Amino acid sequence: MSNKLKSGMLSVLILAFVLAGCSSNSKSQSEQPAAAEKPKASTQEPAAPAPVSQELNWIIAAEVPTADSVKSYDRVSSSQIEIFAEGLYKIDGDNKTVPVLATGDPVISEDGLTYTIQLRSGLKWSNGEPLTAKDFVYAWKRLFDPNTAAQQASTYYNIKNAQAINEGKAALDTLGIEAVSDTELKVTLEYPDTYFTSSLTSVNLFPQNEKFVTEKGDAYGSSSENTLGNGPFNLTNWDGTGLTWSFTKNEHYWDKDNIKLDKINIQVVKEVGTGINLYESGAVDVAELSGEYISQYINNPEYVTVSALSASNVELGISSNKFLQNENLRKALSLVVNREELVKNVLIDGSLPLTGIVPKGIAVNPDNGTDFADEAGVLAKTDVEEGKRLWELAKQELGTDKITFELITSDHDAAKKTSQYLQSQFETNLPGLKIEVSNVPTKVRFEKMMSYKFDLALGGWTGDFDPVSYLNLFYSTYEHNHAKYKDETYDALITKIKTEDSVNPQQRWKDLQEAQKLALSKAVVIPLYQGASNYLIKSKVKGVVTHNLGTPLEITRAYIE
Amino acid sequence: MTFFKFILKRLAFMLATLFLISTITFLLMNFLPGSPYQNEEKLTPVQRQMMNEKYGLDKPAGERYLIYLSGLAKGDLGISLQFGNQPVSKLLSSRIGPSIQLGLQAMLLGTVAGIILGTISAMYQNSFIDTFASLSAIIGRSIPNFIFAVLLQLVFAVSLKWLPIALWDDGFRSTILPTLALAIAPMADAARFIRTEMIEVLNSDYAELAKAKGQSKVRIAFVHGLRNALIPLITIIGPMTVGLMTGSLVVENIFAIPGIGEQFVKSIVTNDYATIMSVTLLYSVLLVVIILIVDILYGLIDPRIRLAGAKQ
Repeated sequence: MSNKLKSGMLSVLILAFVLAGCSSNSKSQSEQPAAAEKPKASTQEPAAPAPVSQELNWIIAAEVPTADSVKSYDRVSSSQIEIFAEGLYKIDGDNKTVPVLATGDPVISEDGLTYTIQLRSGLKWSNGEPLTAKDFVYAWKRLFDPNTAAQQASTYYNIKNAQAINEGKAALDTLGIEAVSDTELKVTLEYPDTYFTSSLTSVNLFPQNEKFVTEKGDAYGSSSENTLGNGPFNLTNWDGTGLTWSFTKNEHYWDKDNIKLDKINIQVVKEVGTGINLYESGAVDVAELSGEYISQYINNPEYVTVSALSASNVELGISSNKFLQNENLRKALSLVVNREELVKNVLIDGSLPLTGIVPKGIAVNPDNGTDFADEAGVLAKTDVEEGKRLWELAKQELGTDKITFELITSDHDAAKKTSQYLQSQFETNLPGLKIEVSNVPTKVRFEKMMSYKFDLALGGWTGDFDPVSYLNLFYSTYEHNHAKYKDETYDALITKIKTEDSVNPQQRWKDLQEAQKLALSKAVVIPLYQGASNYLIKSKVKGVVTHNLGTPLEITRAYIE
Repeated sequence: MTFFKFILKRLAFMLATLFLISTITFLLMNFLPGSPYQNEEKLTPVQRQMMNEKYGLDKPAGERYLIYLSGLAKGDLGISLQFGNQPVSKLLSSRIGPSIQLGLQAMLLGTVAGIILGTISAMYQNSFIDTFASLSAIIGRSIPNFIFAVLLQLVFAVSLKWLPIALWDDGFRSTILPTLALAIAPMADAARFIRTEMIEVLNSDYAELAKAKGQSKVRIAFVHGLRNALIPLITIIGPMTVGLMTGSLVVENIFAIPGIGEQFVKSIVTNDYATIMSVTLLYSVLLVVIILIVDILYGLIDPRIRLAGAKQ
């Protein structure tokens, strides 16, 4: 072979390699939805004379795992499902439950077990097929069918036979839901539940079209073609794993006259800085803020903060560490934490100090509408002097001068900052205490907590509409009672709340408050802060509704001015 | 004929390597703490048990591995629990394109620029140009690519508005900044390797001879010298290309590119078993194939390097 020939072959090889790469790309590129191309033109040069284009360019922080409302278990997918599907009720801007597909509040039987709900007539799926009460029955059965393996199923075990069905011990047909007629649903509960109507707003209880779902089989909810909705918009151009998709107006939606947007373009942007750059350039109408960006934008008129219903706590391994069984020691730990300082100077992310077990915004007093947390007041106080006093007392009682605790936390930014702050607070204020911080992946931290073997752990909890979903964490036999705390009075109170109080909302409220007070008087947990989500939203975008419960920003009724 | 034999032998080795890699990965994966369910704090023990049965996770590791292998033989990569039980093959096929395109573009740009930079450095050894080129190579190698990515984004997209800030929706224009960010490292590496080799080559007898014959400096370096200086570079180009083609977590996130890079980390963090196996195998397959190609290239570039068995 001559040299020329060989070098010729070499270049052909390299070229072939490069071309092979190029061709496979140009294909994948053309598969990308063209949707995101248009927004740029429309936002960068707002068309002055014609009416404003009602096209919203929105970014979210992660991919959508599934568009199947029954299988959805995370915030991202439910935030997207709520755009193209709708249930019986929804949460409005004031955290109140309001009817959407239902015509009014449910009629509840005397014993609190039977709910009769009327549906609007003439409801349609986005493909034009009629939507009836049977579609709810189908979806709910599918939710509890063990073959579906829906991760959220246990949240709704208050529905009659739901748990038995989900565990394969009862037939699907025994589920407590029945389509009395096309527009009337009858739901039977296992036990009375004051917050059942609120839980009817969850995407997991949205209707599903049996014919469509059966036809798609396992692929249901894995792409826009394989998904059917009934909400304000239709999901389009979603390939199941991609970073872009869009929503177009659903002409079959019952309230379509109140939908002003023609199109919503969604783009997944994971890097906060990139989102902000896109926002500043006008390419998108929203950006999520985190970390240092929050303090940079906090005085911007377009800054929006929405507190989340999540509680971040220091969990105490009471059962696994004998020092933590000392009540004075636990109290001392809690007293030296300055929650105000933590959220204002350390986290700086819109979080609120948390001084109870139940965060703000969960539930209101049935008599006077006062928020649960507001009514409870400051239960976990900060008092460094008292903390120091109790610490010395505890050391005497325990007969030791030096105590070392491991503080186990996740390895994300906020957890690291919080753990460093706690370490300095504990060690400076409580002489003889040594804190060994270990920042580990969330799964590792969780496994340690679930094995009930840890000293201190930075944990969190997101409950649901009912304060008891937080208070249950210290019920002796609950598997997420990571402290394995056991107090008969407390257990009795929780049992009472779950059973006999169910038909007496006033008494239940009192007992809930009582239970929270009791748990914190024993310092079974150290509440730290209530998280928040922070955004920038363009001032031209109106009608965005913020929620503490569920999806922080609802955009279905938004419009552009 | 010997070439054919060589290839067959290598293919057998490649299969054995891949089998070993997949076995070890599967073993290690079993030590990951936690479950693949993203909502595990809300699962009841009974639910968890039933889900484990449904996804075959209740079986012993050995049995699961056999099931996995038989699925693999049929081309079934399993399902991703992170992506609503969608097939991993779908995830890979929709995400690999952008990563490969960026990787190859960055590789091509980086090595060509690096070769030119390195050769010039060698030609003007210890001059101002050399110092400048070496310095930029060191800077390029020591600063992580996400810093470049953010800088490029700020300068060329946010300030100058020449190119899109991010997103994968503007055809080739969308690829320019991420390609540049990714190309810095291969450029720096190539420049360093070529410089060292080229200095040696340019001091060799045949380079002196060419010089004596009156050939120009540029011609000596690029025509006579380059081919001899390429060998060590070729060795590192293989693994580097694979690394680039399988995407970069940070660069993809900064430019919001639907690539596969993120999955190398995220699948592990989320215990998405089938995806961990698939991305590991993808990387390994690319790597062994590229190593084979590199070995063949050696022979083409330098005929003195004989293929194994060729002497027989």
